[in-house]
Amino acid sequence: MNDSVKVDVWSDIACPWCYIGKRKFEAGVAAFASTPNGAPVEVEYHSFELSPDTPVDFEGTEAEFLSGHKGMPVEQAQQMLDQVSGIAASVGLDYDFESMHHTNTVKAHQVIHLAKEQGKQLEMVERLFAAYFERGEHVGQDESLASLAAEVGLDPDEVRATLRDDSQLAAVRADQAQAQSYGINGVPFFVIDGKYGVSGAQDPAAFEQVLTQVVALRGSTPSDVAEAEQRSAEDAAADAEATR
Amino acid sequence: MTDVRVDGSAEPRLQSDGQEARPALLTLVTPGGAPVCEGDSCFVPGAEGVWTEVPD
Repeated sequence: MNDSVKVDVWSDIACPWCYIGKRKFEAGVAAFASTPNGAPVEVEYHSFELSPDTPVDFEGTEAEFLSGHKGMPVEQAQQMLDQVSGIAASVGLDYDFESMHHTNTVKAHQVIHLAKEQGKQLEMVERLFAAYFERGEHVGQDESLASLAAEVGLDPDEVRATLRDDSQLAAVRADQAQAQSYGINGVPFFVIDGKYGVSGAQDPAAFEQVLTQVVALRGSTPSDVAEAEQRSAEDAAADAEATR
Repeated sequence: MTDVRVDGSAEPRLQSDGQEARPALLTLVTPGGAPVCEGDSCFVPGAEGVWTEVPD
């Protein structure tokens, strides 16, 4: 029963809820691992571009970008950003929207795939999130990405060549196709054991419960579970009707 | 402006019908939804009237 649990995570580096959700998920995994039925959790990240038409460079603050993009006053945009920063702080993240370089993330996703090939994906994802949301570092330009990747042990020249040749672009597109086949429209999205989906930056307790539930369900197929759930719902409806 | 709480004490339940069902996945959901980003909007599903749009 202590076989590892595989969790595939779809996210985008430029997604504020994805980094917050990452922290909450990690806390949930730690809580799950400490329970008697806990099991090792293997995590793999997958690419999802929220806004593929975003330019590599935007001159201005994030509030100005949001204001122009959404057609709202800068003050209102800033208020939203402040609110998200407050939520990020609640999970130990120090979002800095003033210093953020709004950018296209397709190259960052290619670097994540290169890192995965070398067993460094988790470190790369964390470094890119921190670069984008906390440290005001550019995650859309080749040189910056090469430098960030070197920090987690990748060869910067290999990163430059990868980005020049788009040699990991097919892997990015494959992830996106898989997301589409799963019906994933938003991120973060977590697929557990390849069968069960969890959407959004859930709280740690929810992740812990879901992992526990999935381990308990091993041996059942998703259709078994769905049928049982359907029967349960029908029974509940019949009971409600009978007591009317 | 937004309610980003997800009731952690609520039991996640299985939902196999309607819009939450994915073609190849059984979706585990928690009451109240959780923040997600879709396209250029980020919001809390189900929190009618308190959508929070933030940069993607």
